[in-house]
Parts: sequence; C-alpha cells; structure tokens
Amino acid sequence: MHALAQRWIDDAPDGIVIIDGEGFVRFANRASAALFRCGTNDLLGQPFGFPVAAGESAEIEIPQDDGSWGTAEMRVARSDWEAEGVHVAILRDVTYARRAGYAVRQQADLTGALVASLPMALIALAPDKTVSVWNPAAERLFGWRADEVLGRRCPVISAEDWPEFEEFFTEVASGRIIDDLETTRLTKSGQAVEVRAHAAALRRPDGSIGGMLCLMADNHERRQAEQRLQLSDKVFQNTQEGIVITDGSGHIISVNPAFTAVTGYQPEDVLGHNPSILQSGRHDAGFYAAMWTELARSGQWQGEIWNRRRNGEIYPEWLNISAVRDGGGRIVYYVAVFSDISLVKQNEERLHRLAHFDALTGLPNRLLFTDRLQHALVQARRSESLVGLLFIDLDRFKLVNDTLGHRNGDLLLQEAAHRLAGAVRAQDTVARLGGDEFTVILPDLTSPAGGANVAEKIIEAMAAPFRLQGRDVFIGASVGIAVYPMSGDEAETLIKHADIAMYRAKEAGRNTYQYYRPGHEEPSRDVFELEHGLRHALERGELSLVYQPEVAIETGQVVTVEALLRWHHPTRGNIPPAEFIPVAEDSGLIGAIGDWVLRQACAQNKAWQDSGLPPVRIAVNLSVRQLRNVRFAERVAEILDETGLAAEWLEVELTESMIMQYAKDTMGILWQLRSMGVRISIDDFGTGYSSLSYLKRLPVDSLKIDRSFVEGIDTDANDQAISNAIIALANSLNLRVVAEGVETEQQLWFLRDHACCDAQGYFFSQPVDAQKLSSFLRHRLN
Amino acid sequence: MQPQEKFRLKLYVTDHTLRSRQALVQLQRLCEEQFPNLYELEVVDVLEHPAEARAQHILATPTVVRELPHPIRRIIGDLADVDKVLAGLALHPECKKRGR
Repeated sequence: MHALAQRWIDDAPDGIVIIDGEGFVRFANRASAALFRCGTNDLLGQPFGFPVAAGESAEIEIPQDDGSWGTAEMRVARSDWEAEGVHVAILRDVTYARRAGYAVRQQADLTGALVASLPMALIALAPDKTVSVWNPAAERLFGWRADEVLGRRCPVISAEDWPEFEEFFTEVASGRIIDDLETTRLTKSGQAVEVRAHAAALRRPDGSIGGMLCLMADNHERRQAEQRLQLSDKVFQNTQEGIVITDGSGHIISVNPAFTAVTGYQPEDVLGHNPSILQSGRHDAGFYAAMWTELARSGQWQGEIWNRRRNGEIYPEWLNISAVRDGGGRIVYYVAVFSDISLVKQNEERLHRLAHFDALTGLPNRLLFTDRLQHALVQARRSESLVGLLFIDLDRFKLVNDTLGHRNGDLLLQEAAHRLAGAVRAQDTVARLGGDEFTVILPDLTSPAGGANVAEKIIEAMAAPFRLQGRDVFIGASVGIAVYPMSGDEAETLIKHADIAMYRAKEAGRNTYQYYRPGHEEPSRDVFELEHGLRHALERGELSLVYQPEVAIETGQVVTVEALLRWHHPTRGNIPPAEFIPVAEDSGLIGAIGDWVLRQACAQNKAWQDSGLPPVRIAVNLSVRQLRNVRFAERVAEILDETGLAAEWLEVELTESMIMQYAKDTMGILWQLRSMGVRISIDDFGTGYSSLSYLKRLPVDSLKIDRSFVEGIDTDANDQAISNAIIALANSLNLRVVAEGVETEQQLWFLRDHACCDAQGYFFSQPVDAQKLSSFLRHRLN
Repeated sequence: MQPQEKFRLKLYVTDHTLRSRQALVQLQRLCEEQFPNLYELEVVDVLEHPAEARAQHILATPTVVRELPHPIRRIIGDLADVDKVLAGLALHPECKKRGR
C-alpha cells in the first residue's frame, strides 16, 4: 500500500511538494520537478517558503532561464509527515491556459483602446436594437454620453424613421453589408446630422448574430465638398462660355462642350496641343507678348481676341485667362474662359443700323441726318462753302394711305425714296424724317441756285405716276429750301427754315419749291395747332361760306353759285383753304365739315329761292375722302330733304386729279348722286392726267377750265391751245364748260369766241357773303 | 523583545504583471497597517535580476522573504489573506488580537 501510494504520488499529473516546518522542500514528485525544470532531487532542501493561498488556491509564477515564466495553480494543505507538521502544495501547470487568457485580455484591452480612439462613431446594437457599444466619437457626433444610451433603444433614429430602420436592421443582421450609406441621423439637441455610414452584422465567436455594428462619420463637409465639385463640373459642362484648361507649359488638358460648340474642335483634336492652334493671324506677335507679360505679372489677362474656328471662319471672342499657382507660387494651370461675341458684334451693327437708318426705306433717319448735317456745316465753315438743305413733303400721300391702305402707302414711300436717291449726287444725303417727310443735304453747293436744280429734279421724279395695285397713283412733292449760311448758321435753324419754306411751297399750290425767305415764319404753320383749332372751328362758328357766281357768257345770267369755305381763326385771322383743307382731310374732320358745308349751301340756296330770286344751282366742292363713305349719296339725300332743296339745284365739284385717280372707287357714288338729279362737275380741269375713256363713262355734267390756262388765254398760245381743246372736248361730249379765274374782258371775249359756255372770276364777282350775293343776284335780275 | 527593530522584507515578483502589482499593493497595505514606519520593503523582479533570484533560491513568485529579524523566513503564494501572511512570516503576534 505504501509503495503503491508512493507510485501514485510520483505519477500524479499535478506537482506535489511537501514543505517542512522551516519552509524547505522535503519531497517533490516528478510532475513538480518538471514544473521547475529540474530533477526531483534538485528540489529537495530548497527554501520554497511557506505556501499561502487566500481562498482555495493561489497562482504563482515560475520564472524560466529564457526570461519567460510558467504559471501554476497552487492548492495548499496541512498535514503530518513522519511525525512532523508539514505543508503540502499541489501545483497544477496552467501556463498555457493563462497565456491564452492573457492574450485574450491583451486583445480585449487593445480592442477597447481601438474603439475608444477610433475617429469614427462606432455603435453596436444588440439584437433587440438596444445600444451595446457607444464610443467617444459617437458621443461627439451625436451628443449622448455612453451611459445615457447603453442598454437603451438607439436614439439617433427618429421615430418616423424607425420602421424603415427595423427593416434595415433585419437586412444587415441577415448578412448584408452596407457601405457608404449617406443618410441623416438625429443628435441629442434634436438637430439632423448628415452622416456617412457603414454597417455589418455583429457576429459572436460562435458565428451567431449578435446584433449590428455601425460606423458613422459626419458627412457634412465631405458632402459640401462633393457638391461644390459637382457644381463646378456642372458649370464647366453647361456654361455657354468656352473653357480651356492648360498645364503650366501651355498644353491643353481639358476643354468643355461650349469650347467645342464655339470652335468646332472636339476635345481629342486639341488635348495636348497649345491653344495657339486657334490663332486667327489677326494679331501680331507683340499682341501675344503683351498678353503673356501681363499674365506673368498679374496672373490675369482679359480682352477681345480674334480666333479661328475649325472650319476656318474667324470670330471675335471675349477672353479671360487666369493663372493658377501651386503652394510654391509656380504656375500649374491656365484657365481660359471665353465667349463668342460675333453675335454681339452683329447685334451692335444691327443696332447701329436701326439707330441710324429708317427700316422702311433704308435711308438715313433723323439721327444720322442730324449728324451728317452737323458734319457738313463744320466742313462748310472751314472751307467757306455753301450747304443746301431741302425739305420734301409728298403731296396727297395721306390720301393714298387712307384710301389704298398702309401697305400701299409703304410701297409708295419706298418707291419715292428710290426716286429721291436717284435725283441727287453721290455726296448728297437723302434722309427720311418720318411719315412722308424727306430731306436732302447738299454739301459743297456752288451757288444757292443749285438747290433749285435738285428741287426741280425731285419734283419731276415725283410727278411720274406711282404704280400701285395695278393702277397709277399721282402724288407730288413740295420742296422747301434753306441754304447755309444765307438761311441760317446752325443746323437747327436751317432745319426750321427749310421746313417753313416747304409749307410755303405747299401753300403756293404744291408740286413746287420755295426758298426760305426771312419773314416766312411769322404765322406759325404748325399742322397740329391747325388740326386742334379746326376741331373747334365748327362749334365756335369760325367756319363760313362765301359764294362766287358762274355766269353764262352769252346772257350774263347767273347759272351756278359756287360755295367756298372760309375759316376765320380767332387769333390768326383768315386761313386759306389750301392750308386747312389738307389738314381736315388728313385728320378725318373733312366728314363733319363737308356735311356742314353741304347743309349750309343747300339751305342758303333754298333761302334764295324762297326769297323770290331766280333759281340757281349751288356748287359744293367735295373731297375724295367724302366720296369714300359708301353712304355718302344717302347723306346728300338726307341733307336735301332737311333743307327742302330740289336735287337738280345742287352741283358737286371734284378736282380732275382726284376723280381720275379714284374713279374706280368713286364711280358708284357719283352715279348714285347723278341718278338723284345732282349735277357733277370736274374742277381744275387740264392739270391732271385725264383719261378720256373714263371721262366718257363718268356721270359728269360740266368741266371747269383751270385758272392757270385762263390766265394767259389772251396772250399765251399754249394756254389758248389747251383751253380750246378743253372747250372742244366738253362740247363734243355735251358737257357744260366753265372757265375759272376770268379777270378781264379780253379773256371773256376769247372764251365767248371759242364757244365757252360759262365763266367765273373777279371779272364778275369775287367770292362774297350770302347777303352780297343776294344783291348780286337781284341786280342781275334787273 | 526589541519592538523598535525594523522589519526588512523583500518581495520577489515576475515582470510587472497584474498579480505582481496586486502582491505589492497588498503587502504595502499590510505593513502600513501592522507596523507603520517600522519596515523596509524592497521589490525584486526576478526577470530583471535573475542572478539574485538564483542566489536566493527563488523557485517561484510572488515570494516574500523576511530578511530581518533573523532567522530568514519566506512565504509564497497569495498575499490577500493578512492572517496567513503574518503567520507564514511569523511576524508580531499582537496582530492576531487586533485582527479578530
């Protein structure tokens, strides 16, 4: 038994050491010798010391020669051995177990340090989604301290996001790895924070899922930087301005789509090349040298530069170059931004044209005209020469516009502009001031008479018929002439005086020209003022009729009395019809005035008849404007009805030029009038371009020979011939013929000799008021 | 009896392991409580001073050697139990009365 016990002890896997009362080893088994790396006998007598353990066991270290150590778990028992009290120490080698544990602890320590010092927020959630790890970075990012959130539901997910998050959690827990998720989370202060998150399942050592691990970083700055980059790229890609980026040595490294759009070069055509491939050749070497000098000096250059597109076309661009330097001040990039300004240039030119030229006729407008006139005056002052200024107004233009429409009016203006330009020298300027007003500047005039020469040419050019809508339209031109320095020193004065002279020409019967003469301007001839006054003339009773008889040459009897309109202006006195009738026609007042004249004339004639005087016809002048009213015949019938005058005692007069130009439009109304019994006569006959075929088809009763022929009838062969022809024509067509403007007995004799029927003029009576004419009639009766 | 005589203790440890630190802290507290100002305590790391360890026949650590007063006594193991440590080192008997 003893020997067996000895063997068991010796073979026991644990070391067994017996220590005596002095602390020395009295026995050691093989396992203990192995622990201490020596023989069992070596241990005997060694001062081991009294073994102590606080509880069941203690751990001791056994140093080794190599600097490492083993670990043993020591149990201590007291016993008696060979009648002596001894300590029994039972030592179990736990070196490997402890070493592994240490490594684990070390690893754990390291992991803890890692988690704590990680610059990203690290959060682990348990399967129930409560927080199990919350590192200092998480505290900084979200504001909650670890002790506020550990074991609680993760607070960074808002309530409304929670259902979505639960799905997310499930996905991640089942193995999905989330990389670079950009999302928004809540902070303790309730604010949203943009984060970039990575998440993965948290696996326990045994492989089972222990929740979710999440790494998060503040994404705000990175996102801002990314957004700035994206924005920059968007600008680069989409700007209308071409962008070229070169490296420091000038090789192109990037171009944008606008560059391709402007230059026609694809990126692959230019990358690696120098931008000089775009050079147009328009600038010399000095230009580029100055540009580089400036770039080197200030890092910036901008200016207008001509480059060449791929298709060879050269174009202007506005170019801005900036040098980009690195930290050491070395130029690493050049950024060139340019915009194609060829359109801008074209627009500039177009604007210049619009500003200086009349769009309809292409002639210089008022602005350029003024410039040119100033310029001509400067030159003339220097060289002491003359400058002629012509103002031209187209006669009856407004009538054309009103009756044939604006489109035809425009065509007429274009044709008139063309004729004007053809009537002047190359150095002269023809301009259109607006409406039907044209001017001509004649620099280097050798004598004032030169102005008249040009004016005559212009009047002649305007006298030829204008072909509009298949018909010939006749207008005319009134020209006013002012000459520097006689008519004025300054542009403004010259313009004013040429204008006044032009009105003078109009008054003088149109189709003529007038030089400005001092004294011309006394009464203001302002058309607008006239129109304004005319609007009130009727209601204020400023209009009146005067009457001039037409007398039968053979019998001396008054056949017809012509009613003539007069306007007595309160401040300006009598205004001639030649002046205000065109205004009335242009303004449309002619309708009301015409009605008034008709009613007044008819009523007067009825009054004469009622007073027992022998009946005469009353002749009233009509404007074509009145005949354009399709209800005009009805209007006449109403007036006759109102006044009680029989239609046969009314005669209407139309000028030859009007009736011929507007025959087509007026013929219907003339026939209506004629069928009512109203008589129709043609005034100023011989001055227009009568078509005999028309004349035959028109319901005309009489012709009035224009006073200009009658004037020279007793002396001038031409006038005699024309008058004779008219009288013969009238007689052959069975028309009554009246000579206007008869002033002398000689004239009357001639007319009687040549079978002219009636005559009118100062020889018999000037136009007089109704009362005087009553006396005249009564006198004739006697 | 020489109550004023100082105790001289030497603590042999291995490296600066947690257990080595614990042993030192426990021994210091014990000395401060039992005989304040009456002891000298020296710590020897056997890894740093292998020759001394060999000369002193230090078989394992933590080992506390009472160098003074003579005769030398030593204990080995866990120093947490104050009574066992005092008994093992055969230090002042009064401590038993105080402790219990």
